[in-house]
Amino acid sequence: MLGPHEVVTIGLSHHTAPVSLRERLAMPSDAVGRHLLRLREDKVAQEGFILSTCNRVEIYALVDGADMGQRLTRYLAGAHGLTWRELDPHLYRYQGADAVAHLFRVASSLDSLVVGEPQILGQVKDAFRIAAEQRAVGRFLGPLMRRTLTVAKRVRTETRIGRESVSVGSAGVELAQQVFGDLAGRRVLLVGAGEMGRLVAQSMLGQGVAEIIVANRTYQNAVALAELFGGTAVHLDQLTRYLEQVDIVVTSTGATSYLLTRAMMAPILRARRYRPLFLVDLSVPRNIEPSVHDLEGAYLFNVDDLTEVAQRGLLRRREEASRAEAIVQHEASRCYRSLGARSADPVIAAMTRRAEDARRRELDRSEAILRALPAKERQVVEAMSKAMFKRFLHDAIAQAHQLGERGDEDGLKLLGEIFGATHPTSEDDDDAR
Amino acid sequence: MQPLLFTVALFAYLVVASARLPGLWSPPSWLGSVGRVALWVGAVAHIVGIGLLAMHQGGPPVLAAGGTLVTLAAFLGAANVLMQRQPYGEALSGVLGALSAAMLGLGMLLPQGSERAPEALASLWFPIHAAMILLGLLGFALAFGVSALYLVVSGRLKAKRLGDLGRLPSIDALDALNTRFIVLGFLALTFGIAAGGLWATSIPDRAPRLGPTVYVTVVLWGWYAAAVMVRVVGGWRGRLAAHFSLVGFLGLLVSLGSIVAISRGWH
Repeated sequence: MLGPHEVVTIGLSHHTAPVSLRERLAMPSDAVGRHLLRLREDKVAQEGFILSTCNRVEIYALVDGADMGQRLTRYLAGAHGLTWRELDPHLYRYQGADAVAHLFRVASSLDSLVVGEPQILGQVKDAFRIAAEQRAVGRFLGPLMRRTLTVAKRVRTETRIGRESVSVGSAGVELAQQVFGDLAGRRVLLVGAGEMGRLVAQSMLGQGVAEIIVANRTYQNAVALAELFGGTAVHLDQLTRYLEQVDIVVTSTGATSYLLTRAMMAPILRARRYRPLFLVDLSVPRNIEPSVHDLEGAYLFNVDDLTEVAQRGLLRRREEASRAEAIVQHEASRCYRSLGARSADPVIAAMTRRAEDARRRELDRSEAILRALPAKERQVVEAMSKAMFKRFLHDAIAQAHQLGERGDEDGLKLLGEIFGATHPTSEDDDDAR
Repeated sequence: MQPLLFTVALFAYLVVASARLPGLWSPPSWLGSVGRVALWVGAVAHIVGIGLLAMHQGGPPVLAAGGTLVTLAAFLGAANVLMQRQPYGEALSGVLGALSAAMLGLGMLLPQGSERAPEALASLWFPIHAAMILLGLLGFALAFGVSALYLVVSGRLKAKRLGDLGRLPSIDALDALNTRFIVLGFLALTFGIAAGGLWATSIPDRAPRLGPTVYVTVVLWGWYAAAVMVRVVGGWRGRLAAHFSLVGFLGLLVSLGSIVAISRGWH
């Protein structure tokens, strides 16, 4: 517990709910802002933020410890015209350190449909931004948001979860990078207008290739595709000329015989002086004679090779996910403890305030004597009185932090009473924000 | 003291090679860290040993083939340590470790020179000659390492052994690096040979001596001149350029080994 409150998560995702339900609960950015406002106005939550993507809708909130988010669930159902019974079977709920761990898992892309995909972190950042703009987060969820971003970055840095290729497009890029390193400035020749070829070319475009040249049997289709990529369309009979110039060739046509044969490629590679040529044949039946791969300077990969790289990437991401999970669990318990320590802040502030009042009163009482002292000696007395109170409070403050970390609500209350400090209420938190 | 330090360095380089070379074909393991520590130990022991040998000989130990090889291996060890920060450093360190061990081992078998002859110090051309020849050989040694790695990466791509390949540098980067090292080595060797000629003629009453090392140097220069022509002027890429670097430097090591085998006790 964080004082009288608790952090809870209520939501549903692709793991628990069909798309028909997810789309009913999905909230566009402007709606998220309105919901956050209502949550606080209706006293459903003291702080909160909402993560709404195509795969999940989740509310993270600071709620009264006694309620534990029951009202939040009712709110979620009511706001979307659903009954409790319709919604409840698809919901998951986490509280305390588990809620923190879930947020860290989501932001680190461990809970994503494709584990390790990078988009989720951007969506989490958007959710945080909207909540901050709405002033919907404060003493507890504010630091939690900042910590979430740090943990997600740590997971990305310390594991390879986001680095392995998991699609045919990214596998093509990965293999091309093994030949060329940076793809910036490279020229790509796309032969055919097949879907797979488009995907690979699109991925390469994302890596900063200089130009995509499209060759197709039907010139109009080549023009249309070249426009899509901002590239150049060429006739298929000009292929040989361009093969000498480009760095990467992607074939994806419906041709039933080889478009590029060994006999055709050998002189081209010699003319290139064996400058590497990376060839991806995504067609079935294949468009490039397999023995082209044996030629010096030619590196030919087919759809099976790319699929193998993508599958291995998926497997590795799963392996890396267990390492990432350990980081997340460790960080979550640490973060929750530090949030707990924050719950002691109002008690500590009240203790310090009370001590300072007492110190000032005593100094004021001795005002006549102090005034007679030289300025330097007055400063010494002032500093000494401060040091005495500080030392006196030191153990009590440390104890308050520990009680907060342990979530010992009664202990904090007692400590507050001993020092004449009232324990914070929800209203105090609202005022603090 | 220096034989002990050289022996420590030799074993350390062998550990580097054993720990890092398997990583070119299999996933990285804890052995990689062992390799990093061994590399530091080897390079430090080696450089301290060279320092002691230089103090003993009254100058850099580069007058005899053995001394030159031992010194060159020390530079290669130091270059290996410096390159650890580069993206290709870890992949390259196993190959360079093995090469350092081979050169140091061979250098330890060969005569490392005795006290410096006075005429060696008589001309300013000598330190220029020695430094340039060493720099040239270092360039060729690095080109050898990079070319060996090029053949490994290229071979794995050709064999479609794609697991963990992403950890290794791209073949294009290795090819560019090979070219840079060959050009650096060739230019330095050319200046070194020219400075050596000037040094020889600057010593009065001393007829130029044409020994086996001179012949090896001339052949080496010719070989790398051809490599520069093929790669830089002709623009030929790939395994051909890599083979030039490999054969050139292996040829140098074999030649020096043969010299000592034929003329044992020759100083």
